[in-house]
Amino acid sequence: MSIIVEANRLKAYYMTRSYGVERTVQAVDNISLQVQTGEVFGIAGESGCGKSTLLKVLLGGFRPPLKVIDGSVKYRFDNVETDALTLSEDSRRDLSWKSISYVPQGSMHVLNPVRRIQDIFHDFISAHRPMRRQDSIEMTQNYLRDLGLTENVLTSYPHQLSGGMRQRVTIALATILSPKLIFADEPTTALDVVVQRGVIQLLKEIQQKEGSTVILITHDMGVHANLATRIAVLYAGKIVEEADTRTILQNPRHPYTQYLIKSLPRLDERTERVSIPGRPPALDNPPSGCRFHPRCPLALDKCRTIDPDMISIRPGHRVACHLVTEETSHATA
Amino acid sequence: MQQPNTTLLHAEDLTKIFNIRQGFSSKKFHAVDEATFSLDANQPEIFTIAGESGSGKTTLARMILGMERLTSGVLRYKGRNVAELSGSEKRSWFFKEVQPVFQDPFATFSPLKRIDHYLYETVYNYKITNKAGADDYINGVLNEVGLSLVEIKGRYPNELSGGQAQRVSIARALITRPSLIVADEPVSMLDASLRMSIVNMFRKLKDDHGVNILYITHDLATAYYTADRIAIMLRGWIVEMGPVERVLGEPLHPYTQLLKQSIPAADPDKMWSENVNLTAIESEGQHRGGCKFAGRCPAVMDICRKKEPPLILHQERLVKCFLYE
Amino acid sequence: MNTLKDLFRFSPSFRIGAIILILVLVLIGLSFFSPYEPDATRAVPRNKAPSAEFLLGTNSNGQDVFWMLTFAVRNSLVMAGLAVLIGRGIGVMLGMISGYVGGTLDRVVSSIVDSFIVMPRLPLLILIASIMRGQMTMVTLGVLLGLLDWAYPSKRYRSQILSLREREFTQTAVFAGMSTLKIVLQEHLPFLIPFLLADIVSGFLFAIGFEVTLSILGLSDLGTQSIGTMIYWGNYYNALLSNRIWILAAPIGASIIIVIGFYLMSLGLSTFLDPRTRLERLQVKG
Repeated sequence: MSIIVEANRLKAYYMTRSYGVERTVQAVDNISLQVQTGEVFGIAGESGCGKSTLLKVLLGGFRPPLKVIDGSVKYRFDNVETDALTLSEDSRRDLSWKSISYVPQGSMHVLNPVRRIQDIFHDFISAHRPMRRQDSIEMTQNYLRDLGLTENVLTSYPHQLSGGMRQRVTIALATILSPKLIFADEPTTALDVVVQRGVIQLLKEIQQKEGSTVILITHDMGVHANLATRIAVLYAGKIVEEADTRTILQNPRHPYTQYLIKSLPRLDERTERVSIPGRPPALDNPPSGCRFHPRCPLALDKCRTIDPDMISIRPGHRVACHLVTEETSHATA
Repeated sequence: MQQPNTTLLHAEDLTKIFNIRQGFSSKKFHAVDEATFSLDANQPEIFTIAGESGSGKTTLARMILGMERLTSGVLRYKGRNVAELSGSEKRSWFFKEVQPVFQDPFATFSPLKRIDHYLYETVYNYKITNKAGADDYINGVLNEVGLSLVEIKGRYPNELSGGQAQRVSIARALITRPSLIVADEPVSMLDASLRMSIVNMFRKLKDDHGVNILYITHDLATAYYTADRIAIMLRGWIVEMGPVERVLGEPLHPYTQLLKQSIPAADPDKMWSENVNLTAIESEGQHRGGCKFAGRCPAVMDICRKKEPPLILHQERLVKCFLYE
Repeated sequence: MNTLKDLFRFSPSFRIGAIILILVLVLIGLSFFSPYEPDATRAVPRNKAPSAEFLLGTNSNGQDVFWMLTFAVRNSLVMAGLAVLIGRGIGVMLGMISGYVGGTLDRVVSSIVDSFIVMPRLPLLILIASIMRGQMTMVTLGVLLGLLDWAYPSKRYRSQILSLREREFTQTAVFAGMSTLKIVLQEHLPFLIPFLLADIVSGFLFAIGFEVTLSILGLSDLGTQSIGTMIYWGNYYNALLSNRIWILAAPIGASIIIVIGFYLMSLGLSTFLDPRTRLERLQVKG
């Protein structure tokens, strides 16, 4: 297993100044993570946790007011390490076609409304791998067939397809050149539940067939459960827990993750579910110490002043919590 | 002596047809097709209307709120025909009784106005209290949703979080002490961890204050948790309706079964075993007679393609399917 | 008041525009202290170049250009202000009402609006001015220009209202029991303000521009001082050909500076008022 994307002590802030008001939003604060080749790495978190910013930084090509204050992001394709933050526009474009693909939220709007689907595919394919029209159409046909998508969409215009179909066509478009790394940003939001299932299954197909690495960003834990192999839970700009999917869902250790999992409604019980008191902090004025401490029922004194480090409590399971760190050291003592 | 009529809301054969212009011709689109149900004033309940996008649930909600004119059918509230109410009757009576909660709390309020402006307006326009008592009254209602006037007074909507703004929206709906609240996807824009608190609040409102809630959603998991009764909508039809434990516990209609199976469970042991076949959905073909689900029903029979299925009472609920004839 | 102070400090365009317009106001104020009557001719030696005694020189009628300019600017701006008031007032009201009420009223009003838009304004103005020759005062002109310039902006307000009407907060206002008039004035009008500001500027430009055009053609009240009439008289006495540039430079320069001042101010104001930039300006609250 090799590392394909690595972020180290990454700090990315939004710094704005307008009409005399200066504001610094600490959207990504000291995040370190490693994504292994071939896994589906899920980044989970609610709105305002910083996951969209993290995505922007990992993809590169962002502009002020977003600035990386500290840390690094490195890609490793074919044993060649590249610094993602210092790439030039041209090298980034090169890289993005050959190795990295991005499925944006609401990607149905990416499709050119005045071109037929097969032409959209041809435009995309021939821009990076020049080939004749017949060849690209055949390639597209085969790919869609492999994925279980009906072929008669090829001659249609985007507006003739339903929203769910557009989303899946966009995913097919983003992956037809077999990129090694796929960033999927909320791929199922605003889709109906049955179509959502289709999209998740499609992503799974693609990932299994091509062995690509997928970085999946979504707040929907149900999507993570069905797709991700590892999950990192983000809260207020920091990773609070990271482990394999089963552990996160069935045996979370961080109080926030525990609350998150407990508060999900399940289709087999109507008993009163617990809800987390309070609300996530504003990132321009985050709490001192552990950012979860104002809402944490188990907060210790030191949680108010000292920001907990990410400690590995088991191989493959990291948590940033003073209480968990203490419990673990007692257990091993 | 005749029993006093205790029906709060009676919707009968509500239909809404939109004319969609395509070039020089126009197609008729049945957004809501003969929807029928009623709510009892003596038994406050949370009645959920669930369905995917395009099912007609939002249009139905708008029709009940009086925001959308009925193409046909009758809507009675406390015995009175809503379509025949005059503008001033609506403003002085109907809107006092029926209040909405919308999906996006930041669209519910104008970004240019302070959020308490709407609370005060509601109090003044319906003459709930005089000027002196307004602050106390509003504070009381805000307390019921877990907020206080001090927290939100003078603030603009974008200074609040989504959860807070939605609570204010609910508080505003409560000011006139309505008998019916129509909530259209009230938690879908909120984070998962916040949804429970709002949904718990709805349950409390029903239990403590006897408010009926018409809860529109596409999220079956939340629906199961919140609702007493549920109606499943498919392209304008109500295809299954009954107590929620029955409908979602042991769904009868094939569409309800498909919906239930497709919910992603946050449980790695409960992943889907078979791939759903979506190709048939995408054919945007026109519905020509027969059952609207015939195109992708695993149990489809010949008669399903030809005739409209009847609404049958079976196992404590209504099902629109030939399977149960 | 706080907002004005903020604007002045942080928006360079607003600052410059405001300074220009303050100077213009000062100029107008000076007109009340003019040692010369606006219609007095031969009050001073004719055709003198600018000097310490005559700041902007004198013109061929024997008037001090500087002091005449103060009257000219005053009259032109008052006339333009009247035109803007009438024009935008009608435009906003009709646009908003027809947009919100809809139905037959909307269709009737829209047809009237469309007919006004198609009207060729300059020829019409020239026609009316020729008929009214001699009786066209600044006030009359202002009213007339106002009546000719309300149609196009009203279309924009109508479409704004149409879209605002569908927004969810309009429904909230309805369920909060607000009357239609209240909704349009309290909920919708604030969204129109950035457009209104840009509109006011263009209204001033339109009025000043048409006044100058009419005056150059000799169709306005040539006895009154206005930017246009100053240019007219300058041309009449061939100021350009006889190298007495100051006679024309004064009114033309003044009009350019006024226009720039208005434009800069409205630029600063509308960026500031735009609800989308508001978020960036929010003070961090506890």
